[in-house]
Amino acid sequence: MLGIIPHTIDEYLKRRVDAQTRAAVLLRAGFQDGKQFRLDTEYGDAECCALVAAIADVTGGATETVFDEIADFFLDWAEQTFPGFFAVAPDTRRFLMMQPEIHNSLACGLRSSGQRKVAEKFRAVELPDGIRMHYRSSNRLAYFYCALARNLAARRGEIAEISFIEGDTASSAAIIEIRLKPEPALARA
Amino acid sequence: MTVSGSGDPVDRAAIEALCQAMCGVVTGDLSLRLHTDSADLSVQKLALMANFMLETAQRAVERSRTYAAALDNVQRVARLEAWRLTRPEGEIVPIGQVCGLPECDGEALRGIGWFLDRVGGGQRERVERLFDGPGGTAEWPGNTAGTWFRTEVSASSGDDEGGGHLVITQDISERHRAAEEIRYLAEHDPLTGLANRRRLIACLDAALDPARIETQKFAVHVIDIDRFKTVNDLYGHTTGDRVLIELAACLRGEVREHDMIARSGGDEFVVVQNGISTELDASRLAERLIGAVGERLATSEAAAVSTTVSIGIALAPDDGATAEALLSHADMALGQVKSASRNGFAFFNTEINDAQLARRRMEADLRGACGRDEISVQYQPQLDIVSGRIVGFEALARWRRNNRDISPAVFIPIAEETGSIIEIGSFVLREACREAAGWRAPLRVAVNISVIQIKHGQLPALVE
Ligand code: HEM
Repeated sequence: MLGIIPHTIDEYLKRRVDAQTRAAVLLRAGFQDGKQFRLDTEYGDAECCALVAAIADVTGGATETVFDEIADFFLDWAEQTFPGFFAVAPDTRRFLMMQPEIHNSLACGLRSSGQRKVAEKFRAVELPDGIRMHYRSSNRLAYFYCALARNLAARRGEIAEISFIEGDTASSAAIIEIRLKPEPALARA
Repeated sequence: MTVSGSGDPVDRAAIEALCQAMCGVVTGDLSLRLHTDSADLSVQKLALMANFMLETAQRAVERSRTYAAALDNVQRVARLEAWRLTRPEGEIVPIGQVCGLPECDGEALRGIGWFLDRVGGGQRERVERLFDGPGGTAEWPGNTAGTWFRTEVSASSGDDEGGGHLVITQDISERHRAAEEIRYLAEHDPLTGLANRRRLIACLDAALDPARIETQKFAVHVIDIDRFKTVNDLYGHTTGDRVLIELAACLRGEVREHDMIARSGGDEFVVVQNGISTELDASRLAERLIGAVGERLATSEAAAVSTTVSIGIALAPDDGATAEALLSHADMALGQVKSASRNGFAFFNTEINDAQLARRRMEADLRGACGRDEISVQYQPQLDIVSGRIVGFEALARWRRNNRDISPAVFIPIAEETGSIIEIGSFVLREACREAAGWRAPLRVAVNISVIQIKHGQLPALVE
């Protein structure tokens, strides 16, 4: 997995927990203490995914809660680091339509020609009021996808209603429909 | 490490190295990827984004290559050629594969004039007009026999100044052939390959067009094989079919190219003899046909039963203003030949028409004649020649209509053909039995019974 994800998780740890807890989490996930994650380097999928479970274990929280928090932290970081991506797609539906392209190209961008042809994890189909996401990854991060989508919508004054057409939050292959509605004015006030 | 305007340290050397590496793209190699060892997050991000752009560009190129290859295949399979005609230069820019349309032996298109030269069938101007306005579609024959093309021209606003036209030409020869075949099948008899009744009617209608009939008189010969039903009954339908094929071949050999032959049903054929000047032309052809068919069928498998044909002729426009009228009049004339002698021909004339009309009227009158008390029974005594005594009576049907007696010789055959005989026969039989039952002397009563009545059954019940 491209370093962006472990990098932000590590940043999250640096900000939210003490040094000892951070070291324990990294160790539990299979990384050495003091590991510096580079944005432009690939790390093992298994270790990156293990980071979230390790945080839940060490801090005693639920994995879902950790994903929700990381999603929020990640989007803060992404909005600062890649404001251009957000500027070209001011509404959630358009951003979600673009997301596969960002991911597939960012993830493969690093790889040399031989390794480029890895199966793409995301494919989005446009719906009148949202998108249908075909997600396929052995990392089983459909829950993370939903957490990010929900969080992104909330930032834009929208509500993401999510349903699984196939699979569930822990499947390696899922079809997810995200329908977007404007947040009721009262709730926003 | 230098310090940026914002006060952050910047790894300038690493950025310079990345810039230098980016120059490699000039070769067009989009598989190039940038690497940096810099610990500077912004430099890492720069490398990441540069690779992201390269990847995106590479994907776009790959995708368009895939589409282009797919388009080539589509064009090849669909026999489609597409090009853009630029205006005002008039230059031709091919799109996708050049499949060599139309008929240019793989040569590239050489200009609009060159393209239009390939339009055959006098359609060049029509196709050329497509390039004048907003476009349109035309189907046109190529210069080689059997080739057909469909060209669709649409005005393309294009980025280029003055715009131009998008031109798509498809080879539709196969479709055209298939459509022709379907039309052929719909208009021809599959056994003999001759035109069928539908096509015959269409051709007659066209020939009867007032503008044409003024100058072009024609004759309709309805030809029927004598005793063909017996051929089928005795030898079977396969032999019957062979006789029909023989007859068709024979007719083909006898008529001129611009005459028409059709099989209008069963064993009935029609020859439309175009451009006749007098009746004589028609009778000459009819005689010739009778002679030729006679010779030809004499060698057929069914020669023992049938070697002749009868022909009824109607002349247009005198004998009918519609296809149906002409055919039915020729049919009446044919009926005349059949009832007389067979193996001959007759022209339709108004007497036939009058006779046929009178017969139709009689057919209608016969229906319900018993109910109107128009049928009565007369008894003709039967004598024993030796003793001279009356031994019985023959019951005879009499028909009196409008104060006129109509001879049984006239109405009985008609009643037999139309089925009225059942009603009349039953009436006579019932009457005769009733009458005989009242006779004191032991006398016989004879009643003539038609074969049709016997076949119909219920005779004993009727007598009882
Ligand atoms: C500009 C914003 C974003 C950037 C730069 C970004 C970038 C990345 C990168 C680089 C990865 C690792 C991919 C790999 O190596 O396979 C990743 C993973 C992931 N991202 Fe994003 N992302 C962004 C926004 C989002 C959003 C909005 C969503 C969901 C709505 C999302 C969903 C995911 C998921 C589910 C994964 C894990 C995929 C897997 O391994 O199965 N991301 N992201």
